[in-house]
Amino acid sequence: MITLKSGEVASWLGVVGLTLLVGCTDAMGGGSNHDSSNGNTAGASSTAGSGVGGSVGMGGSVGMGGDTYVPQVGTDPGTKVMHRLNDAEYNYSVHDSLGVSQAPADWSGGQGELYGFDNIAEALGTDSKTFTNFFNAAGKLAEEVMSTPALKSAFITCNAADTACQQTVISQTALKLFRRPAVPEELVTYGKVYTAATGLGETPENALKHVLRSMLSSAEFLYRIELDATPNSSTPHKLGAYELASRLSYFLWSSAPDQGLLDAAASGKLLDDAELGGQVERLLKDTKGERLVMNFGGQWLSIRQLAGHAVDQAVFPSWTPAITTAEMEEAYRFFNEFARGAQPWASFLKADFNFVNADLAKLYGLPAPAGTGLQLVQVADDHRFGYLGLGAFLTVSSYNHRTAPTLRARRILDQIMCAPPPPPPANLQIPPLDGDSGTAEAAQQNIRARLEEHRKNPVCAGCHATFDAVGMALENFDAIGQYRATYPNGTPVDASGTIVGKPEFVGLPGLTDMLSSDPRFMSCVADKLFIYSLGRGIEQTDRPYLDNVTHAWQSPTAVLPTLIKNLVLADTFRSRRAEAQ
Amino acid sequence: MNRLLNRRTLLRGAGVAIALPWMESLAPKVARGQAMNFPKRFLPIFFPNGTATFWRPANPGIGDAWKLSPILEPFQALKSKFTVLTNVENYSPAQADNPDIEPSHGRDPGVFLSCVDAKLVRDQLKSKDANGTTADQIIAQHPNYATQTPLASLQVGLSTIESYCDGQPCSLSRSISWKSATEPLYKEVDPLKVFNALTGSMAPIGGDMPDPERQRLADLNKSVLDAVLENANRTRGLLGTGDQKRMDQFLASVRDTEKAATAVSMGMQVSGTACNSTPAPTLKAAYGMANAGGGYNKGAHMDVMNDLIVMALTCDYTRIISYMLEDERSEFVYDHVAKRSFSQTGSTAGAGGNCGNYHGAQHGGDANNDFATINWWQSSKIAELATKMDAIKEGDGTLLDNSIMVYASCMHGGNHHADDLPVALIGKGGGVLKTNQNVQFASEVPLRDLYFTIMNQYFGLNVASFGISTKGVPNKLISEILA
Repeated sequence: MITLKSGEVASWLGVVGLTLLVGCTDAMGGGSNHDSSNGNTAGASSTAGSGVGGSVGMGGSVGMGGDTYVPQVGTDPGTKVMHRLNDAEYNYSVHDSLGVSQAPADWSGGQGELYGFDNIAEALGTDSKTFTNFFNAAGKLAEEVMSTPALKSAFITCNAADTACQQTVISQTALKLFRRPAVPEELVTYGKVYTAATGLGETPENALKHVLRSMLSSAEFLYRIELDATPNSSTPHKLGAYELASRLSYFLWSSAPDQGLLDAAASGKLLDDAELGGQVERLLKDTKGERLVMNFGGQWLSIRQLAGHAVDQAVFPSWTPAITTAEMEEAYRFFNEFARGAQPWASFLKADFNFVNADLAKLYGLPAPAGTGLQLVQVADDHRFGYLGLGAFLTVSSYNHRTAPTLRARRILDQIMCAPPPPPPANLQIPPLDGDSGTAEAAQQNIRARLEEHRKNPVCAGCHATFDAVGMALENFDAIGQYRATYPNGTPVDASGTIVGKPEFVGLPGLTDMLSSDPRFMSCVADKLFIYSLGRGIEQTDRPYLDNVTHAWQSPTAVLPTLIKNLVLADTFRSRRAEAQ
Repeated sequence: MNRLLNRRTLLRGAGVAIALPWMESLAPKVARGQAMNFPKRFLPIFFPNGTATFWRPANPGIGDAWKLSPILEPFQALKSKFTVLTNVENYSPAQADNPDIEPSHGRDPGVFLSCVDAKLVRDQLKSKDANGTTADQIIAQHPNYATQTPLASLQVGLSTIESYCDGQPCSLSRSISWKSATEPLYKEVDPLKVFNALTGSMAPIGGDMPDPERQRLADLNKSVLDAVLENANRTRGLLGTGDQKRMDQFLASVRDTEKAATAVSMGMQVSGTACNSTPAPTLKAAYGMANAGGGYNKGAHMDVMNDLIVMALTCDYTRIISYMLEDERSEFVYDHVAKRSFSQTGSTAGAGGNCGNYHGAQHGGDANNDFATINWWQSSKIAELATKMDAIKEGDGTLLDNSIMVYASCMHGGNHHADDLPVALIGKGGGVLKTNQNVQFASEVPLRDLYFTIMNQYFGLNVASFGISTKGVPNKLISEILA
C-alpha cells in the first residue's frame, strides 16, 4: 500500500539530487537511472526551430546532425522471442512483397499490447482463431495475385509446368516472404504442395497458387524468427545479415525488407557500420518512413486513440467528427517533422507551427488557409505552439465534456517524460468532480476550484499538488483544443502552478520551459524507441546501452534520425542471445 | 507471504488441476426429476469498474423474502432463476489481507476467471505476459466437453475503444479467458466475425453431402497445411526451449484449423429443434468507434451480440461463452443511455441528460446516478439475453434452465477493491442451483470457490483445486447455492 506524507512530493522535476519520494516519486523516478548531475541540457526554449523543412505532406528531409557517438559494444543484448507480425506489419508485408491491394488484417484491435505498443513479441501468440484468419487471408491474397496480370507475372517468372520453374518460384517467394533465402528442405516441402495440387487436377499455375497459400500460412512468414547457432548457450552473438535487415525494416517501415536491404544482406555489407547507418537514412527518407510516424508516434502519443474519443456535442455544438480527423492528421504531420529530422527534438514542445484545414483553423481561431487539405501555418501570437498545443493532444487528454487536468498531467508525465505517476492510493474515495449536477453544468465550471477537492485530503494532496499543477497549466485550452481566457461560467482561467522546489510556471510557455529543460524529456523518447524497435521491454541490463545512446544525443540541434541511427548501430540492436536455460 | 506458492500449488492454481480418484464430496448433485442430458452451458459475463451501491439487495433471503435491488430490477421476470451472492472476494489469490490490489484496473480483471494473480505466474514462468488458465477454459478443455461442439468455446465482447491498461499487460484487462498460462483468448467484438466463426465452424466444405469436388478441395487444403506443419516442425528443432513452446502453440492452432478446413462431412449434429440461424449481421463494430461515430451505437451492438450468443447456444455451436461487456477501466461514454434517478428502493426514468464516461462515473461516488444507470442498462440488456435463452424450450424446461451465467465484476465499485464483489448467477444449472435467493455470506467467500463449485457440481469435472489462496486455504463447495 502506498503511504505518502503530505509535502513529500518535492521536486520530481528537480535536476539535482533526485531523492524521489515515496509514492509519487517511486514512479516518477523509477525507470530513470540517469545521473541527474549530467542533465545539463540546453534550454530548448531558446532553440525552437524557426524553419520547417519537408513540411508538405509527410516528406522526409532527414537531417543527421548530432553529437559524436561511439556505438556501445559488449553489453548484454538481451533475448528476443519469435515475433509474430501484428495487423499493420502483416498488411504492409503482403503489400510490399506481393503488390496486393488487399489489407486483410483487421483482426487484433485491442489485443496484445505491452508497454503501450502492439508490436511486443511476448504479447503476440497465435491462437486457433488467429490462425484461421491467416489461413483464410492467404487464400484471398493468392487469388488476388493470380487474377492480377502484373502481380501474377512477378510471382510466376517462368513456365510453371517446368520442375525447375516451380523451385525458382518457391525460392523467389521465400526470399520475399521469409525475408531470407529458403533452405533446401523448404524447397522440398513446398514442392510437395505443387505436386499434390497437380495430382488433384490443378493446372501448374494454380498449383503454384496453393504453394503461395501455404507459404503465406507458414510460421516462417508470420513470425520473424531469429536463430541461435547454439540454442542452449546464452552467449551473445551477432545477428545474421538477413535477420538484421528484418529488424531494421520492421522498426522503420513496419514491413519486410525491400530489394535494397535484401541485397545489402546478401552481400553481407549490411553488417558494416557505414552501410547500416546509410540504410537507416534511406529507410527514413523513403515514403514508407511515414509508417514509423503512424505506428510508433500514433501509439506513443495516443494519436490513434483519438479515433475512439467521444466529444459531448451538447457541450461543444461546433464540434464535428471531421475536426477529430483533422486533429489526428495534424498530429501525425507535426510528429513527422521531428521523426524524420526536419526539426530538432529539443523543440518538440516549443516549435511554433501548425497544420490546419478550414475546420481546424476555425477551431484555432485562425483564418482559413488557401488550398485543400492541411496547410502549414506559422502564427506567432496565437498562444498555441508545440506538441502540447495541438488539438489532438488537448482533446485526447480530456473527458468528452470538460478538461481533466489530472489526465493531461498523467499523459505528459507518463508518455512524454517516462515518469508515470502512481495509481491512487488504497482505500481512497475520490471526491466527485462532476456529480449529479450533470456533465453540462460541470463543463461550465472553473475546474481549478473543483480540483481543490483533491487537495483537501492530505493523502491525495501529495501527488495532486504536482500533477494538477502540470495539467492546470494547459487550462487555457478546452476539451476540444480551443483557446480560452475564461471558463464558460465567466470566471477567468488561472493557468499558473507551482511544484515544490521549482519556480512558478504559467501556462503552456512556462510548462514547456520546465519540461524541455528536464533531462527526462530527451531520454524518454529513446526509451520509447528502444521498446518499439526491439519489440520488448527495457531490462536493467539495457540501461548502460540506453545511457550511452542518450548521453551522446543531448544537443539542442539533435534530431531523432540521429538517435535512431545510434540505437541501430549499437550491439543491442545488432546482436542477440538465447534465453538462459 | 508467498511461501505457500510452491510450484505445485501454482501449477494447480494455474489450471493444471490434478486428477484425483473420484471424490465423493465433489460428486455432482442430480436434482430430482431433472434430466441431466441437456447440454450444459457456462457463460461468465464480465463488466468493469464495479457497481454503484444500488446493486446490493436490501436483505438476504429466499423466494419472496428478498427483493431485487434497483440495479438488478430488470431481472424481475426471471427472479425465480436468479441468485445474488453477497460478500464474495477475489483478492486472496493476489494478497493475503488487503482487498486493494494496485493497479486494480490492470490486475483485478486478470484474476476474474483465473483466480490466480498474473504477477505470480509471470514471475514463475519468467514471462512478460501470462496468467492462470481460466475456469471457462478448464471446462472447455475437459475431455467430456472439448469435442461435443464445433467450437469448444467462444469469447465475445463489446469494447470499441482502446482502454488504458494501468501499466499492466493489456491481456489482463482486455481478455478474461486464458487457454493456458501464456495464451490469452481475446474476445471478438465484430458481430460479423463472430457470425463467421460460428457458421464457419458448422460449414464443412460443401455441407453434409460429400462429393468428389468437396473431397478434392479438402485434400488441397490438407496439402497446403501439411507443408505448414512440416516446415514449422523443422524450424522448431532449431529453436530454444522458450520459442519451442511458442511454436507448439502455433502448431496446435494449425491443427485446429486443419480439422475444420479438411472436414467434408457434417461432423456435428445440431441439438434440439430450435436452431434459428440469424442472418449475417450488418452492424459494424470495431476498435476506434465511439457512440455516434460512424453510426455506431453500443445498444445496437449489444442487441446483435446477444442474438449471436443465443444462436450459438441454440444451434449448439458452443456451450462455453465468455462475454466482456467492456474492457476493464472502460472510458466508453454511455451517452446513448438516458440517466435515471436512483434511490434505495428503485429507479425512475428522467433524471435529466444522458450518461457519461464509464470510468469517470465510477469515480463519481458510489451513489451517483450516472454510474448506477450504466449498471442498470447493462443489467437490462443481460436480462434481455437471459429472457431469450429462457424462451428456448428444452424438455420441460428451457435453455436458461440448463445454463449458468455468472454476471459479475472484478471490483466492488468506487473504491476499486476486490472484495464484496457484485456477483449474480442467472439460470438453474440443470437444477443444480438453488435459485431465487440473495445469499449473504457471514464471512467472505472466495470467488474461486464459485467456479470450483460450478466445475464439480454442474460439469462434474472432478477438479481437486482451482485458483490460489495466498493463505493456502483449500477450495470448498459453496453449499448455499446448491439445490
